[in-house]
Amino acid sequence: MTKIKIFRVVFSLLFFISLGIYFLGFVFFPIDLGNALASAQLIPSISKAISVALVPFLLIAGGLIALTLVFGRVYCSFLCPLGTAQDALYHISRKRKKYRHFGYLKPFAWPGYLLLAVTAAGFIFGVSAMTGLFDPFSITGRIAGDLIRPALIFVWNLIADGFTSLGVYTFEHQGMPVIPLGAALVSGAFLIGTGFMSYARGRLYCNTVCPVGGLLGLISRVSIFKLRLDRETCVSCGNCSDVCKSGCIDPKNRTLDFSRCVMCMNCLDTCAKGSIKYTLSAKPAQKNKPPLAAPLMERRAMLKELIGYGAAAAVSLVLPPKVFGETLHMSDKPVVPPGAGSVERYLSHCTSCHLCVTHCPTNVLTPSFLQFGIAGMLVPRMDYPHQFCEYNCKRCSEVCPTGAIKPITIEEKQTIQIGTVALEKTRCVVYAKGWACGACAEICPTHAAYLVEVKDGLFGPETDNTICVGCGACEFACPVKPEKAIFVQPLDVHKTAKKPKVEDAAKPADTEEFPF
Amino acid sequence: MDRREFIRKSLAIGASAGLTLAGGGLVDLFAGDKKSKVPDLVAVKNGEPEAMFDAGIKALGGIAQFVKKGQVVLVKPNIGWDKSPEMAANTNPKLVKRIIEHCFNAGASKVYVFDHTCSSWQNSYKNSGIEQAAKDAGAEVVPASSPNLYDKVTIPGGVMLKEAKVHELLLSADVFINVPVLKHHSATQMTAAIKNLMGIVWDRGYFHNNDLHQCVADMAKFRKPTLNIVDAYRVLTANGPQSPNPADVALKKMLLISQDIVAIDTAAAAILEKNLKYIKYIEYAARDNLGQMDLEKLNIERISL
Repeated sequence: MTKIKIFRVVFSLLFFISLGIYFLGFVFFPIDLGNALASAQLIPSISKAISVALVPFLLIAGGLIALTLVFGRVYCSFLCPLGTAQDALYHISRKRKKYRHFGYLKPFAWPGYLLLAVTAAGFIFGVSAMTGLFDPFSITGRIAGDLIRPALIFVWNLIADGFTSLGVYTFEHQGMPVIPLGAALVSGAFLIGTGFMSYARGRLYCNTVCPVGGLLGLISRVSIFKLRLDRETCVSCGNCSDVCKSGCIDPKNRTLDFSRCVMCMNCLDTCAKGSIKYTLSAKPAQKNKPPLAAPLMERRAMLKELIGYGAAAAVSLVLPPKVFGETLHMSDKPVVPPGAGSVERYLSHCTSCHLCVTHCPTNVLTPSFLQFGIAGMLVPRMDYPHQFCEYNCKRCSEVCPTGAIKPITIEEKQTIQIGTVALEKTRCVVYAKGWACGACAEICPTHAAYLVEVKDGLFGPETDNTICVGCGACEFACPVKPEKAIFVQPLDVHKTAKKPKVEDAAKPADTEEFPF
Repeated sequence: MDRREFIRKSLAIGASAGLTLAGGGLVDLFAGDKKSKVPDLVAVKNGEPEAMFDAGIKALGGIAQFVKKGQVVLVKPNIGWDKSPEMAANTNPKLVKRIIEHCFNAGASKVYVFDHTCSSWQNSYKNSGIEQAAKDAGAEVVPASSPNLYDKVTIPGGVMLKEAKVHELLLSADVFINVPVLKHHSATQMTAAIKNLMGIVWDRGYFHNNDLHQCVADMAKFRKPTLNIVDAYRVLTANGPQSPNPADVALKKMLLISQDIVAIDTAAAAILEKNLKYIKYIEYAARDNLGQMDLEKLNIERISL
């Protein structure tokens, strides 16, 4: 193995494992480090440049593009978590069948370019669920959050409950996240799809489907350093092609399609003739003896590509925002978390990586399936009344890598109104049955739900929407089933609630006598 | 806990609860004629939580009267809310720590602390200061956040609450020390010793849906606390059980200790200046012979530091 390949393997594994731990929502993992790892991802950094801070994140995104421009698609082999996961599967696949030949694959980049156009359209028209559906970072996040994390928690709880029944309380039972079947099926489809593709054909997903791969592939065509195959010295033995994950080396015609090369550097030390070199692309390695048919191939490929762009552009025009937009305005839209600003803003930046879902301490953030419409598929929502949003928590805004939930302070969080409270007295225990209850007022962090004396010694709830933050605690606590007597009505555009009344602390009483 | 052990313990607790009810009635008969020597209720004021507990428990003959060598003790404070000690929504951590220290001094083999919280349990345990204080004193802070930790029991003499899922430690601990904080409660007007028992059950929604006052009183019939210790150092006097407004907190510097859960709540209501007729669960509990509401009939020791 070449040194650079060892470095690639070690670096990518460290990066992947760190990001994986962060994706799974482990609280011991430092959020700042997690944010740094997520910033090194192309789609989140472009998203965050648009949504939160233009200059720093544009610089990062620009840096990733520049990296490709200089060195080729090193991003795909060093930084992409889905890429590393696929490499691991490919590795296993090769180990299991020692003489498996992967060989050359004909370029089939159409779906990738199409999805690149859809992704770009998602950015332009603010339908980020489309951006995120095929984004490798978000796919990895969804597989971790929707499938692996629930499985881990299930196993953990089996162990924890086992110990608890023996009187050992060291292991705490964890709350089980509620993942809608549809969302789990989509994540499962991507897991099986990318898993199968990589097991059978290496980086097939990256070169036929992935929009990031599509974009970086375009850029790497003109990158400064390139892997080049010297046609003069190549003897078409095919050793390099056997280990090429991208299937981008054609030993028969002695060509190397660098636009599909993910810079895994597997091929570097397989060539007995030293025909594969990583060199400045300005320095042509071949002399004027073009092999047969090569120029024709290139021209055809170019033509195909142009048609591809045309089709992609057409698609992005044919699907105007209206088409996406209309599905958003459903009657019972879910509540979106504080920091999202508005449902529209939220849906235009969230790529459904589900980092907020795995980090939410109460599991109130759950993936939606179609509650936001097809255009908002898998975007997390507030799962009222099964859980509620903690007044003293803003973790989702800390971890969101795209800025869909923008960074907020705890003071801001406590006055952001994400919904308003509604009380249906005909269902309320106090008004309907004449019994004391007050569960809503008890748990309300701002006392937007409060109790007044309705008759001698009986206290019933009233509401004040000037200070309600829409956290859903009242709806969660209300004992009335199946329809709650008090509930949150979503706000399309978040508002600012007044702060609850806070005065100076009461003076300590002078030494009182016992009143009994 | 296996099924056989569970049945055995349930029967034992049921029987002891029955005996306590009968015994309580007998004690009441005597109390009418003659006040006992050991105080029925100790009230301490004007000290720090630790000093007040030291003085109060001494007046009862020391914690060794209640905790025997090798016993497993459950200390159940109010840790319901993600609030700092200054906001008086949870029991004072200094008091909890001191109680645990006394238990270990008396030879307790193990002390457990838990509460079924209302806010997120991790935040409540941490920000109340109780998790750290209890661990410092050597207790084991136990989660109460999963239904798996609760066992279904029947409530002897329950009027509205006939059965409930209670934390398994309530079934297995030898000694049960109930350590509420005294607070205003907007629905029941007061929360102290009896209302604190809602933190040992899983399904509180049932209470709220089926006459809260009666269910709270019924809960007190399940297992009589070995000792009730009401923290009235900082008292939330309005907008309870948790208020964002520091002005609702009064520094009272008081502490109550009693085995009689009705008497201690009656005294607590006086400190909170609440009309007893509004706190119906005390009246319901007294009616079902869980304790004495008439403080005149009790031997109260008042200590001022």
